[in-house]
Amino acid sequence: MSILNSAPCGVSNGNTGIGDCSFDPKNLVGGFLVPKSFVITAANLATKELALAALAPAASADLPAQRIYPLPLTLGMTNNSETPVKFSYGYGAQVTVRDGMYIFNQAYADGSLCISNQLMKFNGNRYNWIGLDAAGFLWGTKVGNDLAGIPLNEFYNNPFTPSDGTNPTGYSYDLSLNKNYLNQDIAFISLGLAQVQAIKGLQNIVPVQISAKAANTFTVRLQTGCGGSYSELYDLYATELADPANFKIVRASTGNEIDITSVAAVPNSKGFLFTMDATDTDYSAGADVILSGSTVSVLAGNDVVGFEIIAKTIVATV
Amino acid sequence: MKAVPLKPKFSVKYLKRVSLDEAIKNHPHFDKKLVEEEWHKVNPKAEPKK
Repeated sequence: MSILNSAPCGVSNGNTGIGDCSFDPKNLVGGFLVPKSFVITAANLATKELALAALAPAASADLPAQRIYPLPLTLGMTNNSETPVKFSYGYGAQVTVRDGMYIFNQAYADGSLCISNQLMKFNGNRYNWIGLDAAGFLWGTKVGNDLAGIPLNEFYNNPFTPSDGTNPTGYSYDLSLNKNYLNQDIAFISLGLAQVQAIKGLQNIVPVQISAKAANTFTVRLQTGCGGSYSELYDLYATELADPANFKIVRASTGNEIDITSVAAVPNSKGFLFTMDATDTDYSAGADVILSGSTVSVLAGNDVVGFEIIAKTIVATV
Repeated sequence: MKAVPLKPKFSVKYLKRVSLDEAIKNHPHFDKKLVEEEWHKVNPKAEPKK
C-alpha cells in the first residue's frame, strides 16, 4: 500500500448510543498556566493520587521555567467566542469554513491588582493552559497518552476597570484557543475541586533595604504582598528566615557570590541583619550587592513554605 | 561599632572555615561571647580561647 496521491477520507462517524454516565463539562472556575513542556504523564494518570502528586509540587518547582501557575478563582465568565464561520454560495448553499475560536473572559477578584499585575507578565502565548471546572475536572489536551496543557493563541490579562460606585473594580483575563482542544482533542481527569484548589501559587518575598550598607552589614525588611499592602514576614517567620542558607548575595558589578556569615532577626525594626565575609575576595565595602533567595525547596526545608525571595540590589548608601 | 544584643544564625560552613579570631573580627557588631560560643559549637575539638 502506498500513500502516494492518497487523500484519506477516513471513517469519521461515531456511534451515538448514550450510556449511563458521560462527561458534561461544567463552568470554569480556574486552572493553571503551565510551561509548554508540562505534561501529566500516562504513568501519573494511573490514579487520582498520582496525578495530584505530579501536579501539586509543580506549583512550587525551583525553576520558574518548570513551574505551573495557579489562576485565581473565576467568579464569572463571558463567552466572547467566535461563532463558526460560514460561507454562502450563490445559490444559497452554506458550508462551515472553520469552527472559530474560543475566547473566554474570566472575571476574578482574589488578589485584586496584585494578581492582576502578576498575570500581565504572562500576556502572550508563552504558556499553555489547563482549565478547572466546577465539578473538579481538569481540562487539558491529549499528547499521546499524556495530559498536556492546551496551547493558547493568547493569554491576556486585561488592565483593571475602576469601580464606578455601583460595580466593583473589574479584574479579568481572556483565554483564546482553538476549539478542537476542548472538543475532539480534550483530555480530562477528575481530581476533585477542593484538592485542586488547594494547590496554591508562590508568593514573592521582597527585600526592602532599611539601612545603608555599613561596613560588611546591611539590614532589610522582608515583605510579601503588593499594591500598597504589605505583610512583614518578620511577624511570621523571624526564626525560620534568619538563616544564611535561605539567601544568596552577589556583588552587583560582577555577579560573583559573597559568603554570608550570619543573619539575625532584629526585633526593633522587624528587619534582618546580614553580615558578609569581609575577607571574601569578591567583597568590597563600597560596592553594591544583590540579595536574592535560595531555591523554593531550600526555603520550604526551613519551614518557609510557599514563598520565593525576589532579588534586590542593596546599595552602599540609601 | 556598638555590639547589638541579637542572636544571629551563623553559617556553619563559614565558622568551620575561619579561625575564632577571624569570626570575631568579622562580627564586631555582635557580642564577642556569642560569636565564641557559636564558633566552638561547630569546632568542638578546638581549645577554648584563653
